[in-house]
Amino acid sequence: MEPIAIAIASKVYSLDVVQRAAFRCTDMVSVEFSFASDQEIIVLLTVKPNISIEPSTLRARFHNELLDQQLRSVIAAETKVERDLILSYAFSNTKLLG
Amino acid sequence: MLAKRFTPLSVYRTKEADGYKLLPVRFTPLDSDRYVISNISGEFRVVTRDVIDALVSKELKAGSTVYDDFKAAHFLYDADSNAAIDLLGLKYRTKLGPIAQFTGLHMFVVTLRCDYTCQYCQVSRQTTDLLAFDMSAEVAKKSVDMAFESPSPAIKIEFQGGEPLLNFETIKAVVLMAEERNRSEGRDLAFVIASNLSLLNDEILDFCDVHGIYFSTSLDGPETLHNKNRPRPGKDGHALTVAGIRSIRERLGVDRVSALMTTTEASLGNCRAIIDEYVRLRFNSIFLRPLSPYGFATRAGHFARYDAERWLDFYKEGLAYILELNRQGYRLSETFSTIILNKMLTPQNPAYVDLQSPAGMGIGGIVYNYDGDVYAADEARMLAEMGDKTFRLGNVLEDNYETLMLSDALLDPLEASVAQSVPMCSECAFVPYCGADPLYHHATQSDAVGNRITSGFCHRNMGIFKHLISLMEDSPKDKEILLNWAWGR
Repeated sequence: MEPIAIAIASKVYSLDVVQRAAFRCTDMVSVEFSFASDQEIIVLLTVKPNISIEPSTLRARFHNELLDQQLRSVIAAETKVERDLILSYAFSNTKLLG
Repeated sequence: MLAKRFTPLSVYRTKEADGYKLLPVRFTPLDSDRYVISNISGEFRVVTRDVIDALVSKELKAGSTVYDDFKAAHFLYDADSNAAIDLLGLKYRTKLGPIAQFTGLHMFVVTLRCDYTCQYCQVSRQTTDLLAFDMSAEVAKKSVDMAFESPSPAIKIEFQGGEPLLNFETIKAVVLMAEERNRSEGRDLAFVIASNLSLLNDEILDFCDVHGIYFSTSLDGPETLHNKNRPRPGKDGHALTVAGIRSIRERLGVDRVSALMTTTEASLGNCRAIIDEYVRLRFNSIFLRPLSPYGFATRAGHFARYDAERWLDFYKEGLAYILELNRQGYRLSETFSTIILNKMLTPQNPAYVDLQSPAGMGIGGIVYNYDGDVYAADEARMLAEMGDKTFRLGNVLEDNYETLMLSDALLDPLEASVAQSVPMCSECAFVPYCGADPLYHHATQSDAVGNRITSGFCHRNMGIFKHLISLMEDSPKDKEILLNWAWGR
């Protein structure tokens, strides 16, 4: 199968989110990243030997992963302070905190 | 009169009107329609994707059922619930409690000799006439001293082999030394012998009776399967094990012997027969264990013969049958499921070595080999028998407790085993119930961190987590049984 190129608007998804989504597809594909411009990330998905998948299915899976990773990115950013507070409380009065 | 002591609900609803903030949550697809969302301490809910979107985009309506549920589950907090962060910290701290207690399980390999010739044996064994593979008195004493260096209030000494009863003199010596030492230490001291029971006799039973020693044996299923998996001269392994189980129960008590099974390719089509054998012998638990990728299991090519998917099918078939037996009135639990359910549904953490983060190696359990070498886990000495001594911490004759526990062979894999920082694990809703198992990933991927995309460990555990949650979501009857397992009822 020919490699599948997917153009991502970098205003919509950051490179970090795109890379995380691509990583989750590496059971089926190898991945290359490049920039078409400041505003566009190109993801080239090459299906691994012995893997059978329709291009439309692969695209759908990748876009679903993007949505999930974007949501995780928002949660991580919004809850950073809370996460640090929870962890500092969990480890308080232990020798694990300096 | 009582009602006046409470502030009206409307007061709290007013505070909620100011909006809410998110707490750290992770989510993972459960199936094509549903997601599992969990918080840092492992409380979870099963929801559709649009509900997660609504949570994150702050569209949940105060006072709605889902709002109240997510607030109670610590997925969000508002002006009315600013204790949520402290409470979550406390819950997480409780979950991590067992780690602070440090090493409780101390495995003594008193001999590598064995009277069995199991082809898939995960611990390389020698023939019965090689005394060079027995633990010496000096190594035994140093190992007992080392075990008591652990700060753990509970010390469990487990005798392993080979077949440990082939070196019963060393077992006796260790038990007596440990008990003597414990008169001043006051630890919660326990002993277990992991044995095929073929050498059990009255002298051994007398000693175990006096000293409160437990037995753990191997039972792979009905006679034909057991003897195929575990051949010994005379082809009477199953009969001897069953006779041993009966002797221990009659002499020491029903609870003094437990059994473990190992899954082989021959087991895969015999799921019901294996479970029936456990029921026939009146066991109330069974551990549907996968074959681990160590020792002869890998050398003989057995590990490659079935993958995590095939084992998952075996596990699901077995679990369905076990649940059916429970519904019919026979109380039987599956041990791995019980450990996971305990982590999912209770504030407890059973500190099962393979499902800890950081890994339980060294800090949950430690192995003193017959020659004095110390390993971070039972699997680590299995690897060593194959020539890979990556996880050898040192030797009791040459090293002290500090050098063993601060060795790079322990600290490096521990650092690599904090699942919360492993790629993919860090964002997985099931990470509060899982571990990272650097030994498994070292053995299968030559990397202690490992790649979860191709990890059999990840695939297997994810399959179990999803299956258990689906059962609880979709079948109230199964949920009731699984809840009983989780809470030990």
